[in-house]
Amino acid sequence: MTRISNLGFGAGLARFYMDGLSNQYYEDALPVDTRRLALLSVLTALCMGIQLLLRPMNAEFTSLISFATGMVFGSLYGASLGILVMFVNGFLSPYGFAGVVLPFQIIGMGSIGLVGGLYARITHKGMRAGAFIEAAVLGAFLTFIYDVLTNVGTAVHFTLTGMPFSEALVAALVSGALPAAFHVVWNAVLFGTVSVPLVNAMHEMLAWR
Amino acid sequence: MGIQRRALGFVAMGLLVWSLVTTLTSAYYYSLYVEARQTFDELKSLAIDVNLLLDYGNGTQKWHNQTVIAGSTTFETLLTVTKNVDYKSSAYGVFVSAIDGVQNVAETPTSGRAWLWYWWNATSSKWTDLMRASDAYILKPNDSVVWRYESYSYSF
Repeated sequence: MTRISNLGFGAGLARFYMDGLSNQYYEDALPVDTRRLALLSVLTALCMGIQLLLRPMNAEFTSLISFATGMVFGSLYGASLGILVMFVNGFLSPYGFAGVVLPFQIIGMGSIGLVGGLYARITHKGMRAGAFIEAAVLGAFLTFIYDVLTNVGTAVHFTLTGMPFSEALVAALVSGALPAAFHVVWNAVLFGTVSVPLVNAMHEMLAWR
Repeated sequence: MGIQRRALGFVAMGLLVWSLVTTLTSAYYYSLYVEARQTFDELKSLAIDVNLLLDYGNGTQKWHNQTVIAGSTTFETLLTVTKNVDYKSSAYGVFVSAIDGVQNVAETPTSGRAWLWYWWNATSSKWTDLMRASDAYILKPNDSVVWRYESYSYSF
């Protein structure tokens, strides 16, 4: 039995291709693939469910789950999960239709999942206990990038009312500063406390026979 | 060496996020300050001085001279000088039933003692009953009004 690599989409894709060439290999790999698929489905459903709940603005778990999915399943899966959840959220969010901000939310959350996969490449086998602070800083950084991106989206929305883009960008960044600060702190705490045990637990679950 | 560089990288990343977030937050609070300052300046230009007398009907009188208000009614001006006011709102306007613990009293169905308000007519030099509820008259600069606790009686 060959364990599926955690080192990103490249490894996952190669494995999937090999599965198609060899029935024997495919049968050996099937239980593991089923488990991966099941875990991925549960994560997606959980993430979507939380995202569509009426909750305080920016108190979210999508970044964490996209990032962790990226770390365990690879960049493509992490990014896909983030993109899918934000796409659905853009239409069904309790805060209403996201409008012109939607593409920016999709790009932002997709990037977080993507970076999760890239980060897994430098941490190798799961995350060390000492990685809590590293995860908190990374969570804060990625959240800040996400918020800047969505504020650019808000600025684009403002420009539709005739405001010059530079003025609209400053207005969007300044008016969104407090929610962004809350978001950054929220995700720094969440990534710092939950991401290490979550990723390690997911690795253990996938390795279990 | 590799670990040190990585640690330094994460420290730099953390400091970058901290500095940018605090800068934006400061900009946000500065924008609130500018907005509040503009509102203050606008209100300042609207502010007027009025004089209000509370006459408790037992010889005690309290003047609140040069009370600063902004487009307020007689009733709102009363609330700016004392918070101890009992009142009821109705379709006819606000009815004040007590000021500073001094309650209106109905001695008979048609008479008693109550708080009534008057406006100082500078032309005739008399306190004048404007025959309207205290929340229906907006005071003008240097207006003087009195809230007087006095006897009343009326007949059908």
